[in-house]
Amino acid sequence: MITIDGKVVPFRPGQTVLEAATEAGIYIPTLCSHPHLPPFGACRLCLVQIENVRGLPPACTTPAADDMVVRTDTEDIQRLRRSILRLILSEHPNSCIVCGERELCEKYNVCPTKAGRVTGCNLCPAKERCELRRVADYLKVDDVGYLLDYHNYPLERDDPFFERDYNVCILCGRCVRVCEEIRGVGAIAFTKRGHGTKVGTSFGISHLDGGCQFCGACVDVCPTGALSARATKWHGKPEKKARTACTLCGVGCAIELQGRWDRVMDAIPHMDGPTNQGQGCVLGRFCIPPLFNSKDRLKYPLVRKEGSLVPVDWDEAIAEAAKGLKRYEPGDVDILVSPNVTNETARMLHRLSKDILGGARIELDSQFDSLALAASRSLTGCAGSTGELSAIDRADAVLVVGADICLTHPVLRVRLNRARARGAKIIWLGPTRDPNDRLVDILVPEANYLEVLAGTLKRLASSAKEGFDALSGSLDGFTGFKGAADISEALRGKRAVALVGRGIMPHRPKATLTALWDILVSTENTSGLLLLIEGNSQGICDAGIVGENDVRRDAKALYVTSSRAEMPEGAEFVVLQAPFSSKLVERADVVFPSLGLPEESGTTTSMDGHVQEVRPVSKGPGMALADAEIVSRLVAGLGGKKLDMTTAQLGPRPVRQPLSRLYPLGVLGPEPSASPAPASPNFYRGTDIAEKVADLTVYYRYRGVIP
Amino acid sequence: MEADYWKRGAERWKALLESDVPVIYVGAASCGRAAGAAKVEEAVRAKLGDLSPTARVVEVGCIGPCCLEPLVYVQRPGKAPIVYGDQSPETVAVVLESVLSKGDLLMDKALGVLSEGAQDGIPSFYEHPMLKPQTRLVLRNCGIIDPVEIDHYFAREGYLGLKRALSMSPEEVVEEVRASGLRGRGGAGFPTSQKWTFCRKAQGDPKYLICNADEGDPGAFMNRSLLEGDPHAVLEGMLVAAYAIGASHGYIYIRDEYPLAIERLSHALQRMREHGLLGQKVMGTGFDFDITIKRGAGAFVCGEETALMASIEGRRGMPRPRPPFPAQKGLWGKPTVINNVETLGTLPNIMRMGGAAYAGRGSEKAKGTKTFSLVGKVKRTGLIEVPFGTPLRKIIFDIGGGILNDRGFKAIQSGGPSGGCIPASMVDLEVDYERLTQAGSIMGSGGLVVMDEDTCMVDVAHYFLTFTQNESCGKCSPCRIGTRRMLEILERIKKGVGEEQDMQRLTEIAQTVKDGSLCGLGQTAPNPVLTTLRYFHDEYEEHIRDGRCRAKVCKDLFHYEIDPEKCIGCQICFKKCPVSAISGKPKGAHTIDQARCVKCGLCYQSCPPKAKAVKRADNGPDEVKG
Repeated sequence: MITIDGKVVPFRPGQTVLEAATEAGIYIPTLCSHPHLPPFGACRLCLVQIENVRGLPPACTTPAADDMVVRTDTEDIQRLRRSILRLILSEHPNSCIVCGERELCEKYNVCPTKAGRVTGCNLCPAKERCELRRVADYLKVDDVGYLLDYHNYPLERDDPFFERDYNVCILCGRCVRVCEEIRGVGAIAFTKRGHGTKVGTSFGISHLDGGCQFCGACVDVCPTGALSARATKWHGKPEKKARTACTLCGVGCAIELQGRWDRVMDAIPHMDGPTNQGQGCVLGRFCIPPLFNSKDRLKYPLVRKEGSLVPVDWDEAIAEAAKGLKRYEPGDVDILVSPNVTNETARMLHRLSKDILGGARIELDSQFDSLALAASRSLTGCAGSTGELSAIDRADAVLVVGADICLTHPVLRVRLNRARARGAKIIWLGPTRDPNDRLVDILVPEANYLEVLAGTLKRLASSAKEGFDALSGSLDGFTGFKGAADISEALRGKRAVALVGRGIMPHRPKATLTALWDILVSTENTSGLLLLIEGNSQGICDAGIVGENDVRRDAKALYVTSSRAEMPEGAEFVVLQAPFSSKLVERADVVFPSLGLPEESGTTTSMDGHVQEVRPVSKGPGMALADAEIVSRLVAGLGGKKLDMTTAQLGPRPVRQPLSRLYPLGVLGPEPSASPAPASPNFYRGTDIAEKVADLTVYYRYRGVIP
Repeated sequence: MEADYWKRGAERWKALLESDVPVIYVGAASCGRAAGAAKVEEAVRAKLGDLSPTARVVEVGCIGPCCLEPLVYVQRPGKAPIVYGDQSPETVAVVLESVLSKGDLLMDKALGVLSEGAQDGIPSFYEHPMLKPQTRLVLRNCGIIDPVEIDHYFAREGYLGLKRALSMSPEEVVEEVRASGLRGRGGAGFPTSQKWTFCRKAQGDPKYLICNADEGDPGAFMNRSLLEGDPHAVLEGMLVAAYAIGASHGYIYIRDEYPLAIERLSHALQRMREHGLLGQKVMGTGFDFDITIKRGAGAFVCGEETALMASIEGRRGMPRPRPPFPAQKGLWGKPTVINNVETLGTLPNIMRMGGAAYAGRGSEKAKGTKTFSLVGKVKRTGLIEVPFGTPLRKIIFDIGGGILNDRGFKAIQSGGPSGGCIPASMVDLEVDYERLTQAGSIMGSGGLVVMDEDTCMVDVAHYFLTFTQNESCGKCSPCRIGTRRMLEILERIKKGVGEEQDMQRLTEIAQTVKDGSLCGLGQTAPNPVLTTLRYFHDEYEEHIRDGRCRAKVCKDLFHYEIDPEKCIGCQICFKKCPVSAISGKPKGAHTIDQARCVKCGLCYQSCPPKAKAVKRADNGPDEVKG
């Protein structure tokens, strides 16, 4: 127990005085500490008095100890804090903070005022979230006492996604620390010293050149307006907030969506997401508003009349689609399910295909995800990963196979970085565009990395296993074991995690998965994680939809909820249900405009099995409806009973089977014909995200991801 | 086998001292080289080629008196070396010619002989007024031995301390150091044995020892001289310390601006390896220890322990708060002891002579001796070593020979930019950690800057604060911003546009910086300002109220004028003035156009002494605020 301001409060070992006080509801002002970051002790505002300790130690770095007696608000401390804050304010545009008219100004001058340069809070994009103002209010600083020392740094707006104005920076170092210590990137650091100290890249190169991954973690921890997201900085105070799960990749980060004017205005990572733990990535942090506010959203139901698509009302569109689908035998109808729809929609589509259309084929539209899920089901009896992402936190070794994580699942770097800092070995097989090799212990970036994997597995296999033979036999001119000795030593007998990505697709993916699961994942303490590329593939698979990924070329009618589907030549009737316009619209006979991520309700499942709620902050454009609602109306249109999302109608939620045993091999069937993976790594409902988000195009072009 | 080292060392040392050919020693440490020792050495070799081709030339370190550099000692066969100071290539040729071939010892130029007693009528160099009041323990070999000869060090009882330490248990070594009363020589004066005990007791493996050779105070060069003149003393100290705390690896963090010291250290490490003093099984015992030299890139703050460790780890040199202390979690998160060069250099003496014997010197609370670099306006500048408790008067007037040009003594600044200014009235202060702290200054690493009455104390405060302000790492706000705000006020005062409240403001910000800063740099940065405010309040008042700088240093507060009565019209100033502000005819009185004058002072310096017509005058009341 520790005594803070006369209050006896408990603490956990390892907690600092600041943490103990915060948990006990005692406020200590601070600007540099942040719950996600290790203590730093730079702003000097949390100085406290501790009995029998010399001077005034900072609460944020002092470990709490039994029988410690702490005072946080004596007159001496407050005077010193005020004096320090005045110094900080002497280098931060402060006129609004100490302005006598502030109360009225904020009452009547609520709209954010766009300005080139921030010269006061009323011109600052961070006005609503500024922590400096909060501390100034607490300490009742109403006179700075110095003339403003404005640094006059140039505004930095040359990089995509976020802008920097270091004239309002207070050098708390949060951005530097989150980039280095949490993200493991280290794109920025303190530069120069003394009064010239500034956050920047090495030699002042651009963030693009400096290896920044634009995860936005720095923007989210900035206590002032020094860093701000370009697309959304002037949107002001959100009217609505909702916690949801991002579906731009398979990780399923918890994010907080902010809405205003019935649109999504910003998306920031949620502090306590089970898969992302407060961190995000370039997709979830910066791409949601530009993607879903883009101008080519589908707004009205369309029906092809005399060769042209014509806007109609929902009843007509549903009737037209139902009429069309009824013309075909169930065997001639294919339903292609986008990996981004909710679990509820997936289950309705499943009902639609089985019960209403009497056994139409239903497929998950994702090459790697459906293959990996199907293969894993054959191997373990349970489709999906054999563990959770948190297994990385306990692993001694992490084996990454064929995954360019920085493009497909950027947020996972945080866990890899943390594992490495803990001493775990990170072994990376496969090409990567990750410019940061500090993340990796053993890197085999060559295209023939599967040979090394085969060599590794051979050394690990206790006896000859078919899995190995299947893999090595499939490699033309299999030569070697170069590097395999080190890797197998790093894995042998260790708590390990294997992460398998879509990079294996062009090279006998089924054999690779089989060998990995058979030899490595089947050992004790080892998990195999499938890096599912798309938002809700796991949930859709759990709803009973997992395909063999070979759409019959002879389907005559198609009902697709993804804009990417390859259209069989012989298709006579096509119903497209999507949020975005695409080339597919030209071939559609009926088009249903559906809602997107920030407008959706329901649940999704992360690639490691967390079922999370999806909640809306905006209503969507025009007449667009939720997918579930559309499916439900279509079911009614087809003569079925209108479905709603209650469990009773959909039946019990499928329960994922625990890993039981490895099935005999040989059930996998032939390898898919090698088709080149798309250049762009990220899709939503079949739409290339980079195509819709200009800044992402810039970033990916610069990195050479897309031409 | 080991015993052979000392035996062979003694033989080789004796062979040098009793050489049957002349031996010429040149003081070739950085200070000597700066004074031109390299050219002098060249001249010596050239001259010897003519005089005595078999004669030997030996480069030694710095023996202390910088004012007398370059120093050359001439050793004739069978005689002790005679010391000659202030040599140039020309004079040294004359000296060699006279001493070696003519037998004329140039008595008036000889400073002394390097022996206990007089020789041929020349007194011992140790009786020289600059050296006599000193007690040379740490510096005992500096300037005497060839620093690249490990045998010389062996001959001077080198590594005997280590030998003794290795024959004891580590606890006994710590106990010996406790008995010696040794306190950290880096500035804070923390008891060395206590620091070691913390580290010994800390959990963690391996443990590290770091030698802090990041000497950054302006005007301080104690560590450099020691490393250049006697590197093995420090390295032996490192072995003793490492053995005591149980460290298996050591780092020497040395600033890259000390290339000669780095060279000497690298060379010495090589020799140690060859002699089994480094690596596995040091001196054949079970003690393993190795040392890496890590060069610093020139940030002052990297002298701070935690910043230093960050720098070694390859991170930006920024201090972090304590706890955890380095002794618990230091380099790479392992228990680490960081000792100053001089602390380590003292250890061989302690181990050799015994802790209790060492503690016989010094004051009540600080035992032993301390080296200082004595610079500024004294007649004899240089590197000195005195016991703790020596009064400032003895240092300034006996060792230093008093104030240059017999001006009045105004103040002495101790402890580098983090220290304070002690006024002339406190000249009898006995130097040790506590007394300097009481006076508002600090011991620091041992820089002493003497100031005469031509020094403006506001300017001094401004100078040191400029340094700390520039060298602040920028991490914590009080230090980064507070020093800047203080500097602005001082600039204002120096310009004569200060305000009455400025002194109050300075004190307030200084207190905030002192109480609020994260590391020692910030916590002590206001010291020059606070002490000058305390002891020289009237000078600040003069600047602010009267627009007057009594020392005539603050350029905005005085002007140059030419006394028409005294001007002899020599036109020297007229020709020197870089901005053509001076007009006048030959043989006629000259005048200065104040509007043009940039106050460079060239006219003042160049006016012939017989005329002394250019003078510095206070600005009139009208000119003050203009």
